[in-house]
Parts: sequence; C-alpha cells; structure tokens
Amino acid sequence: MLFFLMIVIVFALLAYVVLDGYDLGIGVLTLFQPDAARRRQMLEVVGNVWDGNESWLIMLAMGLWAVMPDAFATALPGLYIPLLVMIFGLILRGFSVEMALHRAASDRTWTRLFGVGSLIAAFAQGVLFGGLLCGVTVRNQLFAGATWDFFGHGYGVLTGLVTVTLFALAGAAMLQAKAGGALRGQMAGLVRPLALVTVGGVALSAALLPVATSAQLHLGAVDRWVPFGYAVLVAAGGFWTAYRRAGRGPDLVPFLAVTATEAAGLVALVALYFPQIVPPSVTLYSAGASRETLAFMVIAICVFVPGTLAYHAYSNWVFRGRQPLDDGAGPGSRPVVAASAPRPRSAEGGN
Amino acid sequence: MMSSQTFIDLSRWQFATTAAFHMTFPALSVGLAIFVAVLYGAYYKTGNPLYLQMFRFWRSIFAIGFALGIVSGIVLTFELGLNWGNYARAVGPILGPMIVMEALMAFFLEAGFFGILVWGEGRVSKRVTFVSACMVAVGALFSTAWILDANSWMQTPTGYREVNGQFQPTNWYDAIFNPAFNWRFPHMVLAVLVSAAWFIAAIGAYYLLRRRALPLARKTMSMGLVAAAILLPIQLNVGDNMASYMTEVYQPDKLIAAEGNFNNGNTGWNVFAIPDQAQQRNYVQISLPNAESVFDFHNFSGDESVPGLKTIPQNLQPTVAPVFWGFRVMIYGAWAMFSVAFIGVILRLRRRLYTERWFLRLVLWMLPVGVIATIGGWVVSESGRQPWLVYGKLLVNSSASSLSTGELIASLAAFWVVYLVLITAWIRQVAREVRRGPDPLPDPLPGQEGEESALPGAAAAPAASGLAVTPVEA
Repeated sequence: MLFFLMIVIVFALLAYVVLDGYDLGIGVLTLFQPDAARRRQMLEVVGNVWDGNESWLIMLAMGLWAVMPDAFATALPGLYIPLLVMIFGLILRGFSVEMALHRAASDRTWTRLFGVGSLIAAFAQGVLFGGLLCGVTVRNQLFAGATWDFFGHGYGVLTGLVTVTLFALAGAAMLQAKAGGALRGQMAGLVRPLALVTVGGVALSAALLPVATSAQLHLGAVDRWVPFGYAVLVAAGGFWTAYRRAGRGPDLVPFLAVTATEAAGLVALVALYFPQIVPPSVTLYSAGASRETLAFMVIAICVFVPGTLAYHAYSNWVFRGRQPLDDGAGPGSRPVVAASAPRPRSAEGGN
Repeated sequence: MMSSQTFIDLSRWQFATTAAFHMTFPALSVGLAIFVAVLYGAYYKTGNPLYLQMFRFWRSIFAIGFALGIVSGIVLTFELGLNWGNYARAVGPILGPMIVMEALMAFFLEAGFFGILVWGEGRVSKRVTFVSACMVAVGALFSTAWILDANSWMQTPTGYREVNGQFQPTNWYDAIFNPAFNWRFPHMVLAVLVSAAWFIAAIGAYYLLRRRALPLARKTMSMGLVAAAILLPIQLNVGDNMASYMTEVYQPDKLIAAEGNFNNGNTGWNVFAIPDQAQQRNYVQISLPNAESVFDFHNFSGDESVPGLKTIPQNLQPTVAPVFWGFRVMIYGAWAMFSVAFIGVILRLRRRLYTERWFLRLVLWMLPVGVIATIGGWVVSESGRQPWLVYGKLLVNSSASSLSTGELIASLAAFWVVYLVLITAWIRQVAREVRRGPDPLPDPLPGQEGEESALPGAAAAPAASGLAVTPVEA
C-alpha cells in the first residue's frame, strides 16, 4: 500500500509539474511579450485551466500529509521561505489572471502582475526543490535546521533558474500547439533556444548535485542504475525531439516531448533517492502513516482519481483547438446572445 | 526544542488572519455557485432571457471571488505544516485523508467544470452548461463538508488511538461523523447560503435604488430575500440546538467562554461585557435578566445558568474576549438579518417590497452582515477551542515548528500587505461590475428602456453582437 501511494504522490508531483509548469511558463513568457494582443491571447490559454492545474498542488501536499505525515511536517518548516514565496507568487498570479480576463484588454497592470507572480512562483518552486534535494536537517522527527539551509550554498538559485527556463520551455511548446495566428510562430521559435538553455542548466545541476547534497545517492545496485540510465536516455531524447520538432507539425509533439523529459527526470531522481522522501533521514518507511490511513487513501484514490481524470479530459476536449477560437465565445468578449455552439474551425493541432 | 511563546502567538495571528480572509470568499462563493446554477437552470427550463442576463451578470462576480477563494485556500493547506510541524505530524493520519477527500471530491470537480461554466458558453450545449454549473455547486458543497469535517474532528476527536504522540484512525466512520461535524456542517451550509443571499439581495436593492435594470433588480432582490426568509429561521433553530446539544455536551469550556461569566450563578444573558481575564472578572457587564436560562437551556423558569470561567483552571481557560465577542457578533448579526427578512416578508405581502426606499437602503446595508456573522462564528469555534488544538488532547503550545521568529514576522507582514491589496482590488472590481451593470437583454423589457444610457462614462460603442440597444463599456 505504501509503495502504491508513493507512486500516486510522485504522479501528483508529475501532474503538477507538467500542468502548472506550462501555465506558469506561459506567465513568465508574457513578461517578454511586447505585443498587447498576444499577451491577452496567452492569458486566455491559461484562463480556463490554471485552477485545475493547481488542484494537483493541493493533492500533492495533502497526499503527502496523509501518507507520510513526518515528511510533510519536516519538509514544510525546512523549506519555509521558498514555500511562502511560492505561495505569494501563486496568489498573485491566480487573482491577476481572473482580474485581467474580466477587465478590458487594455488593462496592463493585472497582466503584468500575472507575469511577475508566475515568475516568482516558478523560481521559488525551483529553489525549494533544490533545497529538498540538498537535504533537510531533522532531529526527533522534527525540523532542526537553520532558516537558510534550503539555499544550499547557492544550489537553490541554480535549480530555481533551471525551473524557470524549463517551465518557459513547456509554456512555449504548449503555445505552439494552442495558439493561433502570429503567436504560434513566435512561440515555436522560442522552443529551440529555451531547450538549449534548459539542457545546459539541467546538466549543470545534475553534475553539482553530489557535491551539494547531504543525502546518500545510490547508483550501485542494478535496480537503480538501469532505470536511472533509461530515464537519462528518455530525458535526452525528449529534449532532442522538442528541439527537432520545434515549429513543425504535429504541433503538440514538442510539448509531449518536454512532458516525457519531466517524467524521466522524476524517475531518475526516485532511482537516486529512494527510499528517502525528505533527504537524508526521513524515509518512506519511517514517515509512513498507520495502516488504516493507508487503506483509506488507497480506496479513495481508486474510487475518485479515474473520474477526476475523465472530467479533466472532457474539459480539455471542450477547449480543444487554438486560442483564440474564432466562434465569438472567447473569454472576455461577453457575447450578448449565446451562439449555438459552432465548432472551432482550426482544430488541426488538437488531439 | 520548545518553540518560543512569541513564535506561537504570532503563528496563531498568522493562521487566524489568513483563515478569516479566506473564509470571506467561500462564504460567498458556495452560495453564489448554487445561485448561478439555479439561474441557469431557470433559463434552461423557461427560456426566459431575464434569467440568462442574471446568470451572466452573477457569473462574472462569482468567478473573481472564486479565484480568490482558491488561492487563499492554497495558503491554508501549506500553513498546516509550515508553522505547525508538530501538529501536522500528530494529526496527519486522520486529517490528511479528509483534506485529500476534499481535493478529490471538490477541488478537481470545481476546477474541471468552472472553466466550462465561465468560458464554455457558446462552445457547449445549454445542457452541458447547466450540468457544469451544478457540478461547481456540488463541488463547493463537498468542499464545505470535508473542511468542516477536518475542523470538527479537532473540536470533538473520535475514532482514533494515540501512538507515540500521533493520532491514528481506528474507526473512520466515527472519525468522519464526529459529534461536532453532524451539527456544524448544516450550520455552516446555512451560514454560507444566508451570507450569499444578503449579498445578492443587497445588489438587487442597489439597482432598485438607482432605478436601473429594474426587471433584473426585482428578481435578484426577491430571490435573495426569499432565500434569507426561508433559511434564517432554520439557521436560528440549528444554531440554538447546536449550542445546547453539541457545544454544551462536548465542549463546555467554549460555551462558558461564550457566555462570558467568571462567577457561577448569573442567570442573565450578557448583552455587553468587557472581560478582564487577568483579574478573573468583567470590567463592565450588562445582562438581560433570566435570559441565559431561556436562551441556553430553554428553561423559562429563568433560574438555570452556564457555569463561570473560574470552574476551569486559569491556564486551561480560552481567552474570553474573542469568544464572547465573536459569539455576540454572530448572534446580533443573525437577529438583524432575521428582522430585516421578516420586514421584507411583511412588505411583500403588502406589495410594497420594491418601492419602500428606506427598506431598500436597509437591505443594501445588510450586504456584508452574513459574512461578518459567519466569521464571528468561526472566531467562537476556533478561539473557544483554545488552549487546545485538538480539544482536550493536544495543546497549541506543543504544536509548533522550531523556527526563528524573524521569518515569521516577515511573512506575517507580507500576508497582511498582500491581503489588504487583494481585498481592496476585489471590492473595487465587484463595485465596478455592479456600477457597470448587467449586459442588456436582446429585447428591451418594459420599464428598462433608456435607464442605462444615463450611466456615466459609458462608451457609445455597440456591444459585440450588434443587437445591443443600450451602450455598454467595452
């Protein structure tokens, strides 16, 4: 049960990184978008998905709390500052995107704040992930380190920057698939440089990890280096595919390639760290909750997660095709008469 | 390492203020979600364009408050572990799954259909829009249920065993349907519905006062007031019984603090008091003679009383002032709401509901009262549980993380500044949407012609469809 639930939690993390990753990335990209109409278009892509995407963050945090209370109770105080900064970033962007979309297209303040909030949140997530990889000092099942430990002598800044570029890459790749008009070409053009910068950043972070971390990284046993090796190959292949297919159809391929890279990255980290959950001392076995809790969680997840995935798939299907959809029902236009549902006409990239 | 008292006090302030801020939005958006679903359902069934106009108008007010509810809620899920690491470790096996259930049953459901509800019109059929509106409303109710459940377990913990200072479930049925939950869930659902009802009625009253969008204004205020008039008597009854059959039985200390007597034997009900807890007395105390006996025990002989605080050791007493005044704010708010709803019923029977301007002004002033009373109720429930975090089992003082006070002060200040900015922006946005008014109907209804053209600052641009007869701001 514990192992199954760990997979669920890693899946929630992956879902969050993939989904909110691209919409945070789109937020970051709005900061560098000089054209007001295109900024608006980018906002509209995020408008109907961001809250669903962020639900995975709550699922992740609360799943961790339920299944491994010790991990939750030590990681959060240990990563206090980046977590709070992330929270402020998420507050800012979530509110700003709704404000911007419900106001006139000429509104600059909220659009700008949406970008700034997204940047803050993405950077802070990278910092806190770096801090977690470096290790959290725990004594008597409670956090016992110092305030700035998460910083890892600057390792956190590196992972923060890499996360920003990775999310921007995911955002650009998503816009290649979702954006219509000139925005599509502009974003497709960003995929290559962003992929190169991200590959460099990821390689540097990976090389420095053994120096920066206080955790034991195991690669000796065959059941570790084999999955690790495959994961590295898949990640490299993902970057390569995203680079190669940038700007070419089918337009969803670069985004799927980035997703595969993110999944492979997580698998590689699990292979390196397992069973440490909050490295170095809180492990899957020491942090696990009681049997009754685990049983409840397994049942809850088996009953509800399939439905969740189904209606999210449906919601994505409703908004398939490119933004802006030229059916006159785009966000912000507030049509006076409900058009009788014309199908979106340019759906070539959606699948 | 034991955390310092300053750290604990500031952590409590942080949680209390961020939770109160958060509470404002669910208090409105649960009710608004249901209202929006009802409006679309009415349009779907009758085809009356008035309902569609109301639906669109309320949907956009609902959407922004809903977004603020989501983001301020994310804060709370992390705060459970940030400052309160020891608490998180102790209660995780029981409260964690409850909030996972909230995420699975409510957040995903709401988020999945919220996009379709807000942006999907014209892209999906009317039926799908209606189903989406219902799903968002159902999600909001599930969310209320599970969050109330987690909080109620901390009020009346059941179905657990303690292992190395950690609470572990032994019987999920007992843990989920704990005594507090069974009373507080209906109480809270009624509270948020009533809060939204006044918000809705007040905005209808505003348009009636301004003589704008009259068909929408009448319908809006009428629906809000009908809901308030039906729900308030039920709510008064549920709240009253909850105090008698739940709080008094399972959390006597809370009721003692709420009534604000230090000595035994006061059968009067304190209308006003300034407690001085250090001296274990009230500076000022004004009581309604014999009323406590009637209110709290339904004993009309007038000689029954809630015990005084001195019956509890001083180190285990809740801080009286917030419990006492939170309770008063809730009760006085409830009485005010009940009275106004009662007047509304009378005016309606005499067919003067929409024309009595003093009454419309009164309803406009009632706009925030439901939310304020709801927050007052939460102050009672949370500060009345002190000094316990899990009532009778886990003290607040042994629940905190070991962190430095500096980072906490910085984050507390940041929360206050950010939240002040957000609530200001939200209020201004709602005011803007209300002033701008609903988008006009395709066919002008009688009595509406020409009203909106008096709108100051309205641009003379035709609306997107070209069917608009009155100008709207683009």
